[in-house]
Amino acid sequence: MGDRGEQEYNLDFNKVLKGCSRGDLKAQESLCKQYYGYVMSIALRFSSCHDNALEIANDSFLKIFRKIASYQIDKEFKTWVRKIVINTATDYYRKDKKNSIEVSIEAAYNEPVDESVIDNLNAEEIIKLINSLPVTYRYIFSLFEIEGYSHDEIALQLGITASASRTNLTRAKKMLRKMILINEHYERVV
Amino acid sequence: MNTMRESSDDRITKRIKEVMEQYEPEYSPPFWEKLRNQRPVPELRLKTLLLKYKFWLSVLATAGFLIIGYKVTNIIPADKNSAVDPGSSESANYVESEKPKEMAYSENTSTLKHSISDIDTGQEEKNRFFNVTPVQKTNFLPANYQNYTQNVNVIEEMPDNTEKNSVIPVMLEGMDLGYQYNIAQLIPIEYQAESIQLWEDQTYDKPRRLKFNWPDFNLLLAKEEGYDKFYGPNKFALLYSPEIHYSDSLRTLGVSHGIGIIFEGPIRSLVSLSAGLSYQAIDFHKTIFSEKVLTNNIPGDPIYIDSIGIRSGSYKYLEVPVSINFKFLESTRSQVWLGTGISSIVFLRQNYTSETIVGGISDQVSSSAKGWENVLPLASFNLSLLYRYQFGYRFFLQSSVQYKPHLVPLGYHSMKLNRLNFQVGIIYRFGRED
Repeated sequence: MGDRGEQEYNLDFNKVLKGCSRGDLKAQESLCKQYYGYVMSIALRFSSCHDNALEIANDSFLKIFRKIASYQIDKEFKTWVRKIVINTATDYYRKDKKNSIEVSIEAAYNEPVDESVIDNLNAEEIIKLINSLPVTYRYIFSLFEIEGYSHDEIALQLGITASASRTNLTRAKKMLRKMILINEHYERVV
Repeated sequence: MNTMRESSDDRITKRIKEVMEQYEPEYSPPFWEKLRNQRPVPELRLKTLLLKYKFWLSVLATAGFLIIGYKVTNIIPADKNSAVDPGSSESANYVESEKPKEMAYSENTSTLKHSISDIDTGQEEKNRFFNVTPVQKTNFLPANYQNYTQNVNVIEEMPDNTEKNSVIPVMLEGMDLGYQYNIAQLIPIEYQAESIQLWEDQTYDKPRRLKFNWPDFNLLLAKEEGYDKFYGPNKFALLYSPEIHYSDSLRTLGVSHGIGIIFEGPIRSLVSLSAGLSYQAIDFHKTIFSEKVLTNNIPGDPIYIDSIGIRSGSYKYLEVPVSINFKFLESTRSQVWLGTGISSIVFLRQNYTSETIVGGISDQVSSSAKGWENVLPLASFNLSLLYRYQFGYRFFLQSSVQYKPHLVPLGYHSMKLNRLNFQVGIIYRFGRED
């Protein structure tokens, strides 16, 4: 996008933001169209299934519309949106955690995974793998490895200790490896 | 083994991070359809506006109260020769003159009166020659007499001992009479009676039968104004108002019906202020597309089915129009007014349905909003042309056409409605004449 194109985009985007703060339907629809992919991609990392991700995205957009007047224009909008989506996902984590069952990974494979298998993993497969992780592992893995949070920040966000965060991250990685191996084995058999 | 496992974990993590950072699912329209119905309805705009402009509104309100208070109490700024009414309680500080006030009207002053009468007669002759109205002769009074006058008294306050056909009494400079009279009191009664007669001639002659005469209009643009303050409404109107509306968003014309009431009061002889309340109901049903779509993409064997998109809705709202009207043409019974103002709208009910029928299968999304959720203080700008025909002492027929472009998108679905409103109704004048 050239300088002029970028300026026009910014002008239009400012219009959209103003419209959203007024509660204008068209502006909200436009914002939803522009940021649906981004919001959903974050929501999918924290959810157990696609429907759960849709719920997180839905609630995140509602929060964005409600709080858009408090957004400071000089800051990166994507960062602000990401923060809202992660916080919304954390609200779901607190609900999900009550119903979660701790999974034992003692039987996890210690074998290394074939490189070609890793490289061939596409987005849908990776999302399925992440979605299959137990709720705590999923959140800690996503926050640490993808969102770049530190263990202290994760501890604060999820209400756990930093050491528990570290332990759960290791277990999450183990479990991912196990699932990839199972998947690889299943594909070989088929 | 452990090292291999760690590097394998790192590769998995790296790959997941790479893929997830680039991955963004495509936009899904059903997501928005669901979200649209849940999205927060904006706060009451009236409340927001009041809070936003509370300082200026309070300044305006204070100024308004002061002006009304000033007008109501009719305070006149004190001048150097302020008059004091000895009969009032405010006369406590009044220093009684050596000469009693009757002096100005007593027979002892007949000589003085006579001399003024002579002067007056001479002036009257002059006025006749130049065809000047009798009222103007008060201008003949020397400036020092006029300084002793004030505008608060009326004819009834004249003392009983004043002669019926008295001429202008003279108060010599430096003579404190203890009581001073209106300039009208200084005009002979016969001339005042003539003036009163003139007013009576202008009063409305009650019509005996209803007969429409094509009006012989007079342009009133240069007519002098008669009022200096607003006395409140003096007319009540009951109106039927059909409306043609055009929605920018739906690109469709529609017709709605409504009824309303209006209160109106003059603020000048040619200018009036009106405020009302009307109820309007809009129903629409619009096919936004109807086309054949291809379902089977196999060459040589195309299958087409009908795809129809329909939008329908029902809106009911209260409208509060406030306008200022200017009378620019007038005949004996007819008047033509131009008006401008704004309308506020409160939605009582909003139903909206979006339906898509593909191959006979209907997919319908409906949404509705509760009453009073959308209050729009500045909903539309109004420009109107009104015609009034007086068919009774207190009754008028009114017909008007008003163009009302929207100032803000209206309602839950942000409609951009431009309206052409027609009004037909009866006006009853319950207060004084304009």
